[in-house]
Amino acid sequence: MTRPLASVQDDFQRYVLEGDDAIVGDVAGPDDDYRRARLAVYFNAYRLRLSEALANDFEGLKHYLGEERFSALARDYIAATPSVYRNVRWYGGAMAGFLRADARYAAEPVLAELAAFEWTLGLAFDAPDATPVDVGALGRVPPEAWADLHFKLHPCLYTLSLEWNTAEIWQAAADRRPAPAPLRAASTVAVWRREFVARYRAMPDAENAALARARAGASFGALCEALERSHGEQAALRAAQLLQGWITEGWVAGFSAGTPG
Amino acid sequence: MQQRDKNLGFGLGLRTDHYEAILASKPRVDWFEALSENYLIPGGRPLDYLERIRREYPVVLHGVSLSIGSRDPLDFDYLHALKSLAARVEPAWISDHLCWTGCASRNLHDLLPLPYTEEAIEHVAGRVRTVQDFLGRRILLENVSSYVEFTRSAVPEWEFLAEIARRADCLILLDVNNVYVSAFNHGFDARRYIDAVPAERVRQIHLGGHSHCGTHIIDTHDAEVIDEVWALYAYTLRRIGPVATMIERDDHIPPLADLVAELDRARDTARASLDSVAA
Ligand SMILES: [Fe+2]
Repeated sequence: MTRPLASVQDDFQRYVLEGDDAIVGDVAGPDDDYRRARLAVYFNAYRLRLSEALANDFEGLKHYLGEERFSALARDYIAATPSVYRNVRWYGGAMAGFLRADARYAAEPVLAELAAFEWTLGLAFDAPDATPVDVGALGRVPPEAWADLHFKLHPCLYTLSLEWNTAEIWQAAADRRPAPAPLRAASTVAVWRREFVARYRAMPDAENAALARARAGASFGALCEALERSHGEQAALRAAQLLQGWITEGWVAGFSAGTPG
Repeated sequence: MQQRDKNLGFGLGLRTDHYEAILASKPRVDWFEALSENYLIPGGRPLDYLERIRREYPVVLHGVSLSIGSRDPLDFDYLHALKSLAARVEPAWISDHLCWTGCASRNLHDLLPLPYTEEAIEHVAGRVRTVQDFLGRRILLENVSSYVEFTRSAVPEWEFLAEIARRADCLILLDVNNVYVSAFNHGFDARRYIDAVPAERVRQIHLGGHSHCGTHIIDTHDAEVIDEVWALYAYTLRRIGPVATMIERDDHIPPLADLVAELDRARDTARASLDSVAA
């Protein structure tokens, strides 16, 4: 009687994930040492492949932690996180959450932030394509239609609130410089892709608030109104400057007069 | 010698490191094999390069996560995504591996061996038919390198492969290096495997390098093709005739020109072995 395929796969998988040795008896070979040595190729390959994927996704974190601590982190993450993804590209998506929750890492909150920052850079890099609006197109909008303009932001644009000097730490890694010490420094950054390169920049609070409003469907008129508190009579000018900046960065994928969308 | 349709000639695996060099130098490569999963992403640079390279060269799609042998149900989200990618890229063909990659919704990100049983043959052949119906085309299944065999296996790997191909009416991507690696690891004669492959179904050949660990060989694709594998390739062509061939390199990726030169060795080997058949 042949053992069903399903149970061979269950046992094999439990071996690769947990080292459970129920599968050993199903492997051909002269003795158990031989069988275990051959099975170990799969056990090791699983860990190696996922560590490589993580090192690829979290270069900044690796630079900050150093080889040895990063390897330990990869081991801990892999032990805690079996992959449910067909594409190994998405395997590191739970890293920031893991670093925030796991007692071995939670005392260093900058680690989770750094992971979230890098992961967002990756999301921007692989985000859907859309043609950014060019400034000229906006110039053809008649003045009376401006108040009612609504914007569609580019799908590659993310915003991220940081409590630490995370972007600086990441930049040091990207430039192959020693990482600065972690410092508390609250900021909001925009992360996006332009010419196929992921980019980021800090946004002042007023800009962040305006961008969030635009994303939520506010009209250009509403953006001006919201800026009145901080900019008074300059509000419309400030709103126009912000919009021009967003368009120049490639953050706007469309606009329409009237209904948002 | 029967002539196959769609013999694309001599190709290379498409790797990120070479995108720019391919577009800039338009190397003498007949076609490229793109890894499907690398392009099953929402957008950005890889898809842009793939489309630009596709304008210059024929492309085939090669997947690693179909998991055709898994006990889990087929993943139709994946198949839908693959089908839209194929509509965009118009590949000459689509291939994946005769293996499983995980079960119970887990993924081990590896090409895992199956027990060569009647149950597995029937299971895999049925799923290949479903996939082919869904994609509206025949697919190629590739033999993988393996490090273990199961005591329950009732037939040798070459019979397993041939019987699945027959029942599913699918095509074969014959990885000559994988035959060499598995022959060494399990102590069978590689030529016996080649002799048993249904020649008319082989649409593509893979060549690649590996790592010899003394007691066993690991299929790492991180080095040049070794002489013994070139010899096995020549033997294969003498038996099955000319077929589209490509070199896989996944690690320690050298400059494009080095791989183009290695591909010339494939052309020379093919010419010599086919001449010897004709003579
Ligand atoms: Fe292969």
